[in-house]
Amino acid sequence: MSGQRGNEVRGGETSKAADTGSSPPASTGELAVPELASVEVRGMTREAFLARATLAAGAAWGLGAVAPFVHEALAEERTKLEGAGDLATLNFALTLELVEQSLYDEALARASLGGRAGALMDKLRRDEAAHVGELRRLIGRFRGRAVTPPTVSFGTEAGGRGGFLGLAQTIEDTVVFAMHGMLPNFESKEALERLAALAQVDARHAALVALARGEDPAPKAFEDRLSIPQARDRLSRYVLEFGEE
Amino acid sequence: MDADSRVVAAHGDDEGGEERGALAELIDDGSSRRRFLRALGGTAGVSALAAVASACGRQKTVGITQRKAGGVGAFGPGDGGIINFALFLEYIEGDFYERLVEGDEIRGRRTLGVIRQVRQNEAEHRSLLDRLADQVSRPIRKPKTNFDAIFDRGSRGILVFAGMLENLGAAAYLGQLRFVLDRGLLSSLIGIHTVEARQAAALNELAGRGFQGGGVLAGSIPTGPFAEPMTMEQATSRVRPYLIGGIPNLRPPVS
Repeated sequence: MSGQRGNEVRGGETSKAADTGSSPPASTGELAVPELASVEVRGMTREAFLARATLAAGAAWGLGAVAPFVHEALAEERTKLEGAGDLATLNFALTLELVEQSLYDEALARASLGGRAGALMDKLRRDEAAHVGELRRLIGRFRGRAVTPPTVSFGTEAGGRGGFLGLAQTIEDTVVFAMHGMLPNFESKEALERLAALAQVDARHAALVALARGEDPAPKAFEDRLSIPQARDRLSRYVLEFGEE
Repeated sequence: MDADSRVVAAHGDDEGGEERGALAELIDDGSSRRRFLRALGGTAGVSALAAVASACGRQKTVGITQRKAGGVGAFGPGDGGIINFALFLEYIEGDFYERLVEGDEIRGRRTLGVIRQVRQNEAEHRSLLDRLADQVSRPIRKPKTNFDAIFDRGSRGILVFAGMLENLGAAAYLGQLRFVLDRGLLSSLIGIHTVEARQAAALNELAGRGFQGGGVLAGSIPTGPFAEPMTMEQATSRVRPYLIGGIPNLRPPVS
């Protein structure tokens, strides 16, 4: 890359030279947007042709002629590419939610939780099922394959009321911390918004479980953060085998 | 110009603003730009993109918040405006909890313990946001508040209001996340956002409101499995009755 000459970008195959047959349709004196006439895109691919055509049209007729096309193309490409880049993270988020769902399924089957604690567990189970469904939808939308469910075992911890609530606290906190680690890295705004909306509800779950245990529901001003490897490590006690994509 | 006038100005119809916003964001956000260029098979350069954005009339280097629905110009543009908006909400929450802890309306040891922790959390949020606002732009002045009407409602009414205020905070943070350009700031706001949600769930539970109490702001999990965001305008309109003198101005620039 020259880095010195106007609009030239060698590595990106864009230059200010005018020797490749992509000249603007008129002299710059007649152009609506002469800045675009000085940009050249090299290459023979379809994308190069489209980029040249867009720039030429923009130069000749003004940005009004191409802005909708550019905007639409940007939006479409960004959704696909950003979503694809986010797939691994979305699949780990799905794994986390599947672990939670398994926990509440098992607890409701094994533990005799009545009253407020029972109602809370039932509510949490239903919310986690909705989270699993939404993550699978998002992964499908970004043309990915959803990870298979992990093999989990909570042992005897999920038996009694106290043990189960403690386990629920550990899992919910881990999920919220992991979400905090993942969210800033999403490329797709759609994924960021949906996961943040989901993480907020998991944080509410964690607080309600803490209250039910007599613990502080919001013990820190700033949420802890876990990387994906850290979260996997923390869950490895309960996850015998992680799923495959 | 007063705060309300700035709100109107910020929402002035700006034809083509959306296209400019998308391009401006692409220029500002390096990762998005790289991905776009990759999408074109490496045939277009940064300069081409810059030329398009420039010709589209991009006018500012960071931030698009004030062009979006729900943006309130009083807080300033871009990431700085988002920080100021969050700081504004934290000031209001802080005033409320200071008043609550000083009074004797709430007597239960468990509930008081939670409220004291919430007050401490909010103070730490303000401290961070004030520092960030100072680095990024001009921080907003502290608003003046009056919660007398709330404290006339008795202990349960006060707790119900606290739960509403925290739900509002969580929804307001959620509404801004998509507009944040700086990833470090995004991480900080996410880390506050889920703490606001924890506080909201706990205070609603302590107020006896159940999971869903009707609407976005009532209940420990008010909108079901997915939280719903609020815009700046929606959030500010809900707290405006407790402000004396409306949304304050930004502090003067340091000379």
